[in-house]
Amino acid sequence: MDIAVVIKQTPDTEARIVPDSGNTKQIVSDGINFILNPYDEFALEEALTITESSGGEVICFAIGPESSEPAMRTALAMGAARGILITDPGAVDADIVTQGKILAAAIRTVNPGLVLCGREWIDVQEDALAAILGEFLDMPHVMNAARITLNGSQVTVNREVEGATFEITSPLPAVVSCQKGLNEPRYPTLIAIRKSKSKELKMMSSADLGLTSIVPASQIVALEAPPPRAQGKLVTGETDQLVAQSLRWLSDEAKLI
Amino acid sequence: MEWTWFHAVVIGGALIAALTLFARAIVHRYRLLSALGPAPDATAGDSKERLHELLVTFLGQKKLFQDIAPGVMHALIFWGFLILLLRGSTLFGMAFFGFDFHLPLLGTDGIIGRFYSLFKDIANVTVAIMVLYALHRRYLIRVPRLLNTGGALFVLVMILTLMVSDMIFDGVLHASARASFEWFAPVGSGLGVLFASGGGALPTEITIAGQFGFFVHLLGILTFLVYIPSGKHMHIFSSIFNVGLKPLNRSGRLLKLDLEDESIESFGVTKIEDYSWKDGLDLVTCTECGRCNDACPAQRTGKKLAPREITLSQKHNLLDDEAPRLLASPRSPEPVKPMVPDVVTAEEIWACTTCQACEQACPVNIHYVQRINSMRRSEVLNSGRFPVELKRVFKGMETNSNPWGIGVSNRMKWAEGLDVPLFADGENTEYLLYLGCAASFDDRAQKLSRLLVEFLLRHQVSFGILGTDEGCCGETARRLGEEALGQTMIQTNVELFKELGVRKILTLCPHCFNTFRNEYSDFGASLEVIHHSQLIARMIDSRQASLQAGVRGRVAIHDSCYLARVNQETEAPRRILHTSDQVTLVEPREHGLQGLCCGAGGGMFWLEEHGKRINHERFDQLMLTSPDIIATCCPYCLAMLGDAAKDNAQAGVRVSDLIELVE
Repeated sequence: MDIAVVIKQTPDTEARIVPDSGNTKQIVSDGINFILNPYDEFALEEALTITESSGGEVICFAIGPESSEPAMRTALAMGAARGILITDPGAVDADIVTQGKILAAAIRTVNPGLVLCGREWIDVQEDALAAILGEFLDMPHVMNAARITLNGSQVTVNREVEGATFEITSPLPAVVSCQKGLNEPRYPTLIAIRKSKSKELKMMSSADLGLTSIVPASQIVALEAPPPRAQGKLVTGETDQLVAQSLRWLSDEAKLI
Repeated sequence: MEWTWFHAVVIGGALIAALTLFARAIVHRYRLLSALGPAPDATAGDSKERLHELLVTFLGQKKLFQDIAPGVMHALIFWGFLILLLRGSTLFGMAFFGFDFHLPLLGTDGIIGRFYSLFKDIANVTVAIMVLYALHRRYLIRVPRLLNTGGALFVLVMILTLMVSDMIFDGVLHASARASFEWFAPVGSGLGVLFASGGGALPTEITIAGQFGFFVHLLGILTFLVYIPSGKHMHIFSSIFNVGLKPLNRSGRLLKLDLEDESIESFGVTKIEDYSWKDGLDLVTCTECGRCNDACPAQRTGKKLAPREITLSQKHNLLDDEAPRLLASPRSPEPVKPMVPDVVTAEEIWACTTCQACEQACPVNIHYVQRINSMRRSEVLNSGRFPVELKRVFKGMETNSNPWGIGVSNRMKWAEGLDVPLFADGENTEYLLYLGCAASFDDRAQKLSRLLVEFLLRHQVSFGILGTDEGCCGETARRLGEEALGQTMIQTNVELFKELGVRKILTLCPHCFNTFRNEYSDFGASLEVIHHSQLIARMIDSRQASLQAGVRGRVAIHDSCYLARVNQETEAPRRILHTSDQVTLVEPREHGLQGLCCGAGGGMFWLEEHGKRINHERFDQLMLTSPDIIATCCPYCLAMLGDAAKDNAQAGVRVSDLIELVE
């Protein structure tokens, strides 16, 4: 059974994100280090573990500019067999519903037995991808898997919610989004990185998939940094003064007491 | 006591048999070592340095004296043996040519021969006493580091037998010549007088004892010869080579792995033949003395890692498990036992702090750090197997060029509000101040960066920093076996240094210091590197800087391994503290080149430590000197000992870097 894994290249979690003043829909990418979306690593690791024990290939799908090839290469180095990267600006700039539609069209070409993706894209904080893919692929979907067990034509997913764990069984093929804790993603070895250089990475456009006119479901109007947090107040002095001053602020200024 | 042809026949036959067996064993070892990888740096370099090494470490036995009592014992046995080599040759000559045979110049009718005879007697007695002392250490004191194997006992008893048998033979020979007591043969003629004291003809028992002593001595030597290659006493023959062929300039310098050649499909050591023949020589030369274990911070705190046991496991793997395969033609590439985890376990290789204490302690120059590092390389680069905590560290270095994984944009946070000059070019700026990751991101160490910068500005030292362009020096990645990541970071730095014309680097961290000083030349950078303690010491010498007035009382120095042991800098920190009569410098039992590691080196700072913590072990040792201040010169040592001090808050000691003590 082949497994399709949807991945994305995102800014590093430590990157300082600044909206681009020249283009209000973009961030400044200079000085930002990009990584493979951390949740996608869980999806990829799970797919690799499954195919290593029960056969099949892992095929990665992503939408992003050509500069997002490194994330795809990381996925190939981790063990994916091949990758498809959709690079046309129409797809790259589209909203998640439209991107889901494009990804679904691409995934359909490989006829996978299971589709995995990360729980969330950490850059735009979109977490509806599994549902959207399920809709367009006409497959059931389960979100936030903390454990995935395959048995024959079914997949059983443990999904953790606050204070409880759902155990959900679904027929295959299905779409499952993966949560932290599902596994410990492997570290690409130098040997694997070298071998991955010869793996197939296909650059495609939405048009190649027969999607010629893309009508976004929503559009980004503007991108703004949150207002900087106001400076805190520091009180110094003896304990009595500290308490008195703090109380004064809490009652007079903050009106909390 | 008479010589007969019988002596020549028996000894001659035994000699041929023993030499044949010995030669076969040596050829076998030689073929095995030849089946291992090349060792270009075993012969490269300055031959004067090698000669010096032979004179000091081999003939002079210098490293043995680090453990003084057994050191003296071994040296006396060794030097005694050198003298007795001539005696052995004389005795073999006697077997063939009669008991009045002597080597040229060594007859007791001449002054040279008389002095030789005197030294020979002294050597015989001294060696015998030292062997008794060795037996005492092994079986009465039971020194923990010693492995009381059958081989060890056999050899000691054998040496004692050789000494006693020679003395008896010599005594009887003197007795049968009716010689009186002579100053140049105190043992031989003394015993001779004793044996002949009955007057008249010598009793038969005595002549039989003499003949017996003669045969026991020579057959004993031959037995010894046959036995040697199979056990730890191989070092008698191999240590001269192991000492003389020591790879020079290896202290603090890991071998550069060839990552250019795309045809290489396996990195580091996965099987024994991935090691060099010199590593193999190290293995067969190990004397099992356990000095490495005693020095090892991991072993001292109950970790599984023991340098000697790694060496012995690998030796066993080479000589027993893999030998038939290595000598077969064609040779199967599949090892009988993969190096990790079958020969050495992951737990062992991931406990090494790379502090080099084992190498400092080893009397026969065995190298351990590279051997362990090569296994780490294989685990990381081929298999992706390593302690789980390290993934974050590697990813942090890969993405943000620091093991903390903190964003590049935060690299200058320590300098907020401080106007620090950026390094513009090497023409107008003397030093590139390279702070390193610890002093850029660790809360405590960030203070050191500020203090050092303020110190340099105050004293008008010409310097600049790289700001957010500073990345990791690559030291930790390479020590953790992530050679690809380490080399990538190093290459980035080397290019930046070239672009900016950097020639002199001032570092705050001994780990950066070491890698710039010893490893960057392998990557095309030639740098003059100075550690902040050295610069401060220089400025103290010239009275530009001084200790802060408030620094007083007992100050204990904790030597950084990478400054002291690895790079031989033990003076600078002491010079700084010596300047004030308010300060009493106190030294822990292990200091200078023998200093005990804080537990952070080799990337161990990033791993969960199990069992007794090394920093506590070192802290406890430092506290025995009752210090008011523990002075460090490495941000990692500061963090480790600072943590230990927090865990022992009642100790009330202050842990400070030297930059915090000067003005």
